[in-house]
Amino acid sequence: MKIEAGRDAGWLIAKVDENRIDAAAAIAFKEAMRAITDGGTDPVILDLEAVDFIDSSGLGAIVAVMKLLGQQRPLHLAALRPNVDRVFRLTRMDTIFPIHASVADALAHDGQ
Amino acid sequence: MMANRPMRRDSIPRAEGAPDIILCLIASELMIRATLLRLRHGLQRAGAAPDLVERAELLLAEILNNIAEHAYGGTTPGRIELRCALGPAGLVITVRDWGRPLPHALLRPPCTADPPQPTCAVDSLPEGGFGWSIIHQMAQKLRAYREVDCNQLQCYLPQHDASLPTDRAVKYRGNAAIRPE
Repeated sequence: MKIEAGRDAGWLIAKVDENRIDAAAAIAFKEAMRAITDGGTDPVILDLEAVDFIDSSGLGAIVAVMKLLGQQRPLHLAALRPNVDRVFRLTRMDTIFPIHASVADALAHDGQ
Repeated sequence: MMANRPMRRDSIPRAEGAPDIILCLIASELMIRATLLRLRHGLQRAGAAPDLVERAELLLAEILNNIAEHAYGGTTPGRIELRCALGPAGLVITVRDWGRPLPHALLRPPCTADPPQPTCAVDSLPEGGFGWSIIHQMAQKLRAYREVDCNQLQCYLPQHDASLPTDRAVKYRGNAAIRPE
């Protein structure tokens, strides 16, 4: 599971470099995100631009990352393709995660 | 010439003449992924609309993952057969496995629980259990049968997406969704 980590304006940006977060990838996703975020305090933007498919396992893994980060470290999502966004809407998890059209939008919304 | 089809116990609209997509797999996560990609390509080749292809892939992901868990979980992954028949009104889906019977409670749509509140404690968010909710929202005429040692799940995915209520309209910028205000 390839996830690229970067920093901008006090945010940790985690860009997923895979096109599926599915049952087969869920554990690897959680572990990669744990490694990237370990020991830090910055809020996180998860850039999903490259992801064209997630299932409920992938969604559960993203929720697990939010729980790992804890209440004090927000997790925002950016650049969801309609196919990925569908899963968040069907499960109403789009009311839980702040969702932005792009990483740039997420950075501009700082503090929301 | 009559094709040899399993007896239908419900009237699901079906096109005559369109070749069915038939895929067989062993119920492992990687084989499920490979099967979903083959399904995607098969539906594209058969001329299915892009939205139907995407919805079919999600619905089948949830169905196959759940069969793997309920029929074969804790044992050696077993065989699943998937048949999809594409018609003008949608996709008829039949999935067979030879594992444990499916718990009947799963076939009842979940009670509409309150949606998760944005202010609820992060610690209490569920990480699982979304799959059947997705299946029930997307699939129509969901039926399950057991014949001797074989479980059969049948459902219908309509051409037009009726799963989301109109108050959940999504705005997009470019190709990416933005959170509803």
